[in-house]
Amino acid sequence: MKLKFKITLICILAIFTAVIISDVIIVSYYAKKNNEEVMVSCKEQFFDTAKSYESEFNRLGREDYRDIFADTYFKKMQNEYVICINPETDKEIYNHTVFSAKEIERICDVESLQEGSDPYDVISYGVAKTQWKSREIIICGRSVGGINVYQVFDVTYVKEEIKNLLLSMVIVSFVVILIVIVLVWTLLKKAFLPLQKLSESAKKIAGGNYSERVSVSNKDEIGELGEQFNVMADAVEERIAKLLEEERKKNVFMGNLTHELRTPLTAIYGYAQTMRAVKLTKEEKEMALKYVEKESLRLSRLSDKMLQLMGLKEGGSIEKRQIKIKSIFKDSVNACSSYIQSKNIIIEMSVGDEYLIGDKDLMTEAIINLLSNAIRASAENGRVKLYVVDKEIVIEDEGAGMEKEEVDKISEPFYRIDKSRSRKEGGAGLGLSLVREILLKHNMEFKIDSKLGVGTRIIITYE
Amino acid sequence: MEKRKILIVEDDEAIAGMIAINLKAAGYATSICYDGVTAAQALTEEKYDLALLDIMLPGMDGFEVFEVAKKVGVPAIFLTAKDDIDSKVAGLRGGAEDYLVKPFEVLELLVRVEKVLARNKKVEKTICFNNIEIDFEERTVKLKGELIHLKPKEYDLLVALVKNKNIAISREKLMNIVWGYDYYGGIHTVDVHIGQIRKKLELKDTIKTVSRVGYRLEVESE
Repeated sequence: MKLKFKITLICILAIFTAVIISDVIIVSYYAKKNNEEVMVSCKEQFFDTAKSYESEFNRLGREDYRDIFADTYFKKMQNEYVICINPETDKEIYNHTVFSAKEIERICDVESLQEGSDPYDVISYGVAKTQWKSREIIICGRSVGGINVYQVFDVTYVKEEIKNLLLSMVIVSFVVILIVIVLVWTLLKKAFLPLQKLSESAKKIAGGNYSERVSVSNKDEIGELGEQFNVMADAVEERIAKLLEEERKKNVFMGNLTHELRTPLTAIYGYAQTMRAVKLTKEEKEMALKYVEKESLRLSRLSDKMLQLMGLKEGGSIEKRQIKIKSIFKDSVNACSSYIQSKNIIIEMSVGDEYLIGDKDLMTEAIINLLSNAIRASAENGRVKLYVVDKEIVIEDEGAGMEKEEVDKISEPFYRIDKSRSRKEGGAGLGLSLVREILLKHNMEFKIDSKLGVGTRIIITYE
Repeated sequence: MEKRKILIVEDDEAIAGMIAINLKAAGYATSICYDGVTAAQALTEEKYDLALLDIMLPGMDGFEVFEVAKKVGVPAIFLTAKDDIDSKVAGLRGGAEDYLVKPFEVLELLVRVEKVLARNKKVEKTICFNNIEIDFEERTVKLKGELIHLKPKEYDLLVALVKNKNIAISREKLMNIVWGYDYYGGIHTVDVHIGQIRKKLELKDTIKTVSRVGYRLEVESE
């Protein structure tokens, strides 16, 4: 807005100065030229008057009758604003002016003039102002046939013409300036419209509407700016979306964590209160204690996993060594042995001398997590296979399996397919998150291949 | 009078068991459902006086089960670990009677259950135990058919103990229930009133002093 005003103001100032300067030049030039022209025309007229009187006097006049002759001649010719003076007596012979002979002679003394070569230059003239009206006057005078002839010209019209010219030029100038203002303003408005759009869009984006874009079709700098603006808005939107997604994930994680903490806490707190306040049978007391113990263990497991997960997320690089996959498998099965026995699961292991590069403890932890999941999913007397094929570690169960939508969500922290069952089985809900973090540290990935009712296969690709 | 039946819908075995023990002690009949689908089935098949609903449930969530409960006219209290405002609003706007955020106090749960049942006119007008008959509407107590005069505070104290029977209540809690939070009398006022009740109603053995906790009215569950 301000810029628009500024530009308009500068334009107006420039045009105004230009117009004023050109006005002054034109008017002064015209005035000078006019003055010269008027002077020349006055001289010409007077020359005619004087010449024609001179020739008439030479033809018919006589020295002793010159006064009468002059009077008769000028009366006959009706030459206006002519005054004839007898130089010897200083008397008016003929006067058709508002001046007296004395005044005329004071302004324009013919006798002191010298005759020049130029026919006009022999005529002397002067400029005088009358007393009653401020009028511009040229008086020309000459001695002809023994008398002084003067002619008075009113040239006020020259000044007036200049005045009129000045007035009309001022009017024209103003009209021009006005037109320029309107033109500049509309042009600027049009030119600034995309900028205004840009500013509105920026405001909207700042207000949170990150999908806002501008449509500036100009092929100039402003159009370029609009394009760059959109590129920037794209980047901002993308980053905001990423941040929001991270925020959402964090919130979900925190919400789930709270839930996971509150559930065992509710039980422990409730049983503690119950044991203090309610008279319980021996069996009931036993059950309460069992639950307090179980839920405390659950909390401790949860905190262990959380610590591991956080350690993995924050920790630096890991120590990588050559590890035999066989030993990882053995350790993992040993760690799960009581669980395997309790459900009477058959483990089928098939592994040769393959090895991978990594941290043994972490890789074993990952396999233990995946193995526990497989056992959890299996029915009693089920079968779980552990084998290595083409740089792939595969853990396969014949358990419940999952639907496709479940597979997508399963590695989110605390996600449970069947909450009641899996909690009864003692999972913390962080297993796959942990596995993913561990594998990420090793630049490895895992794939889940599952069919509802058929079973699940987890495939880890290693180098 | 027949025991009032409460359905506990909670996927966590430990919590469900804990609630059941307390409700049983307070004289309610309970059944437990570990998932939403069986809960909905149970609600339509049997007549319950109240349902305690967890929100995050396998199968159907607590809100969906609540819709079923509303249809069959069973009031519900939500038990939730999500204390976010949204689920509270959704629960109460949907017509739930109340909600409790986990972890909750057992006594608080019993108080809410009692209140919801009272609001739905599902509490008895009288209660009988040990030759004693309490009429809640008349505010009278009879021992072996004879009217016994109790002071108002003694009566309130008795009712507090009876309504939370088999559960020990601390002196402070009794103080709050009977005298209100702004009562500045000594904690021994409770002991004095308990003594009076014991003497007047021959409840020396029934109202037990539980060391380091408070008092408990012990009644055998039928």
